[in-house]
Amino acid sequence: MYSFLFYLILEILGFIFLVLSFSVIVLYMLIMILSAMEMRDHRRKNRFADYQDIITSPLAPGVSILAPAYNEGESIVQNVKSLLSLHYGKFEVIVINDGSKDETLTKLINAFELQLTDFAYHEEIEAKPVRGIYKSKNRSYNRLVVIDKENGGKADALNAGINVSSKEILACIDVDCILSHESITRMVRPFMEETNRKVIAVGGVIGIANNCDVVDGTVTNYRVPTTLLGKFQVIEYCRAFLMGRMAWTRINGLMLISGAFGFFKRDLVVEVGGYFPKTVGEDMELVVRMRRHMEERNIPYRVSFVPDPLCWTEVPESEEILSRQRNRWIRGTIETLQLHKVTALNPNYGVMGLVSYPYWSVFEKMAPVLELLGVLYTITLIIIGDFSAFYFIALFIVLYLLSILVSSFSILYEQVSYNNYKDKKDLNKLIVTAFLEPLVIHPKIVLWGLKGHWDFIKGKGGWGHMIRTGFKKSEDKKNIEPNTLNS
Amino acid sequence: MKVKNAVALVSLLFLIIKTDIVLGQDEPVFADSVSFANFLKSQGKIPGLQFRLVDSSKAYILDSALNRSLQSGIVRDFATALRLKDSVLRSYEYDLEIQYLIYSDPNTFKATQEYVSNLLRNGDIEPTVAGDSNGKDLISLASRNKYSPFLKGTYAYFSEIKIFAVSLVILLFFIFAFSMILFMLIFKARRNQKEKLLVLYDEQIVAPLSEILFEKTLEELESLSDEELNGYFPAKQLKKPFYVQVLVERILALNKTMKGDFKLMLKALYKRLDLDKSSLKKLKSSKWDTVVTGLVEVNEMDLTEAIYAVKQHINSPNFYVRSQAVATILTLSDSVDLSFLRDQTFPLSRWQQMNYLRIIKFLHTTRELHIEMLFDSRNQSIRLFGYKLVRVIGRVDLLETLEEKSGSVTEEEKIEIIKTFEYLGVPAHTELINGSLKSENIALVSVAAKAAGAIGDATSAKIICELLNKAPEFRLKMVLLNSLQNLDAAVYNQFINESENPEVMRISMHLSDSLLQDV
Repeated sequence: MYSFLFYLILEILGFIFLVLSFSVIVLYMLIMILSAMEMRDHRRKNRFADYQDIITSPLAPGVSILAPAYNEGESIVQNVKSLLSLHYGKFEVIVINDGSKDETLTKLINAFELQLTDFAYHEEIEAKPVRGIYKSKNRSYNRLVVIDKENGGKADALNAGINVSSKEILACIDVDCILSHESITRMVRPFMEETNRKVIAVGGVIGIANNCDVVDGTVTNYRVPTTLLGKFQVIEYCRAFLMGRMAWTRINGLMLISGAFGFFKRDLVVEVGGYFPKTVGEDMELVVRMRRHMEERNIPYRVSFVPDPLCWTEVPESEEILSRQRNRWIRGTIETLQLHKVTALNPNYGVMGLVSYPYWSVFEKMAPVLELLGVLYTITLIIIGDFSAFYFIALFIVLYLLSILVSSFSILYEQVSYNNYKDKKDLNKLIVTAFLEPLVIHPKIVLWGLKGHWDFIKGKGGWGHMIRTGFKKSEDKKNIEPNTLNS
Repeated sequence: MKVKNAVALVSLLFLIIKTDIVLGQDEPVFADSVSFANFLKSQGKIPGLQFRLVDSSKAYILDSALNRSLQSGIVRDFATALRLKDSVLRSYEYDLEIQYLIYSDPNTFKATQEYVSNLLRNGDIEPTVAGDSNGKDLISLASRNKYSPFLKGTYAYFSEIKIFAVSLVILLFFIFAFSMILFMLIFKARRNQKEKLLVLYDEQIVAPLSEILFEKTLEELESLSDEELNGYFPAKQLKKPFYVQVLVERILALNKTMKGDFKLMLKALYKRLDLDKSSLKKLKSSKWDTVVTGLVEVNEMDLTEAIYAVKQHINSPNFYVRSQAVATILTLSDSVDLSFLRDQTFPLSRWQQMNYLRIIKFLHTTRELHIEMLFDSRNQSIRLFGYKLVRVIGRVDLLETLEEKSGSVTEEEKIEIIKTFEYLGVPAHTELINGSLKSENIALVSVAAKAAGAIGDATSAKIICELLNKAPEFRLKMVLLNSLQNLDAAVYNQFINESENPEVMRISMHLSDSLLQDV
């Protein structure tokens, strides 16, 4: 009886793995096709866009740039100066000092001649107490507002920034990101172009600045990073931004806008209650909640994406930091999916409920677990003598080649669209990395993902009961008592 | 996104292993017991299978010595067992039975047949090819065997469909993956080559362009013969699409920065080189981006003869074609009014409005555009654009018309009209503002309150006080207090002094902080 059950389970697992593996192949092919179509359209449209008008046009929307800073004393002044020099007419820069323990605030006060104001701060969205709001007496820094508040994390800092912001569009960024001078003009374009559907958020590409030359806040000379982990992340970012997100944009199924560079409609962000500070995946969670809000009200909407290179950041090149980042990402994904589980396979939530959510659940959230199961399954088959070395090697080669195919396609994208890595040596290095990645780096990524799952199960960093229960309505976050939220 | 190699790998692997097990289980290997017996005779030893003679019916009183020898006499092959049986029959006239032992356990003939069948199915034994007399049976047997085809002369690789399929998939992926890399390298090389070519063409084009522009007059240019022109721009080069593209781009770029006679010269050159024909041809393309490219060229080079062709595109379902066509018509036509825009059915995006606004702002001083006709459009986005135009262009003369319209428009339009009144700062038309202050729509009230601060009257101040007493939400309260402060400082101070609301006090401090005047 037990023997029968054992073999039955093996059969079922075999079937599940079969469906999954073919789904992976089909999905990647679809993603490649959809992203190619979207990229082609974007490039065509971009040819006819004149971004000069928008800088001074009275019809352009105002933008509030929100930049949370925690212990950024080393570079804060330079970063803020760079933000203040962006080419756009109507914008303000709101730096939120999130209870830094270093000299972040002092340096800002000194460098920008800041003074404490009587700003009538009103908590539209709950956040940790604000100690003071500063403005510069120097007219050159008129666009700058600095909020000093108690430490509450990035999401909490952004919520405080939203409360102070006064413009139509919110640009939520990491303060240490390098923004192109054109970044605002290009990112607000989708908000201005749509007529039939309200654009609620626009995501942008994050480029990798490691080993690149930066002059006046813009990357002038691209070079691939020197370490294998760095090079791997270049390919990974190409895959994620130029392929994945472009494909999701094509079907209006984008669920994630990077927290380092995302633009949102302020009124809608306030309406849904701002960021949820108790998840480590606050960027994805906000987008999902905004989408739910629109779906629950049957308002036509769109989450857009601009694939132009407008924002750069330094990526971690040490395993220790990268593993922590991946651990956080997987926990953020699990928490967001848990909070919005009501949307799963629910036709009321359109593409998000029927396509995006299931995809994220199976191919992002569960990926490390499924891969572990696959390995255990293989070992079991070897032990019981039901293992075929021929097929193992054959299929290993197939999937290895699939990986190379997808990676080289994403590198090709970068070459076709932007050709940032002009040196042929850089291209060769990326190709070599594409060959090594499945064998050398991918197993580590899986391991870090598994660690993320384990940490989620242990309750690390999450918000236990609330996250397990999930939000029944998109605005449920607003109904949480402030003291609970901040606990 | 991650490549889920291991999942896919393992799952595909198991799929095929499992299907191996399932296939061919139900098909009988032996047609009947005779064929099985014949097989046993010809096969010889079979792993796990033994035979011995037994007197299961106890019909014979066996000699004790014979009995002992039979009990211990286990043989490994069926033919020997048969010979032994015959020998006992001949010598002792005992007709004994053959007992089948599978791993030393006695079994029936049928169970033995099933056991041997399984061995054959799993490929654990190879059927022995006997002499010519048994050939037919063995071939028939082998043809039913799924795993060990022993027909000589067949290429095993192609007969195993799964191995073939897997190899084919590997080959396909190999071709795709390496084609991608190869394509990438070729693409990179071509791109670099194209960039070099661009630099080369640039050098070839810029010098003659400068020479024509700065050393010749318009008349001289027009009187140039084809041969002379070919001296500047060789006919051979003009047949190359990339050269023509670079040439057009350079002329367009120069045209944007040049003025007066230079513009006329560039236009004349554009026509002399027949580039205008190429632009007009693009307008008939089925590809929207080619049409837009043509429209841009027509617009930039003032090809007024193309107006009719451009008009065909002003109601195009494609956003970019439509936008560019409208922009081109606005720029080119001397006699055009805005009726074509008024009649558009597609909603205007802010992006389109921004572009049209730039053109209209430039044109309104030289042409009679009749902006007011946009107020009568059936398309709300066009009406809203009309109100914005009044504001940006500063058509104070149209405020009266706007006020007349305001009684019968939507709240969204009222917001835009009030913004226009406020922007133009004409201290009249307070009826609309005061009426809007009483609206249920907070956005409208907020805009009206802000406008009241600039162009309101005593009634406005009174209404604002009433609204403040109703404890509005924070942002509106701030706007109301700010407007009241601007409208009537005395009333504002009185309100602040009488108020015990801490929120009002905070707002008051905010409003009096000089650093926060623009926040």
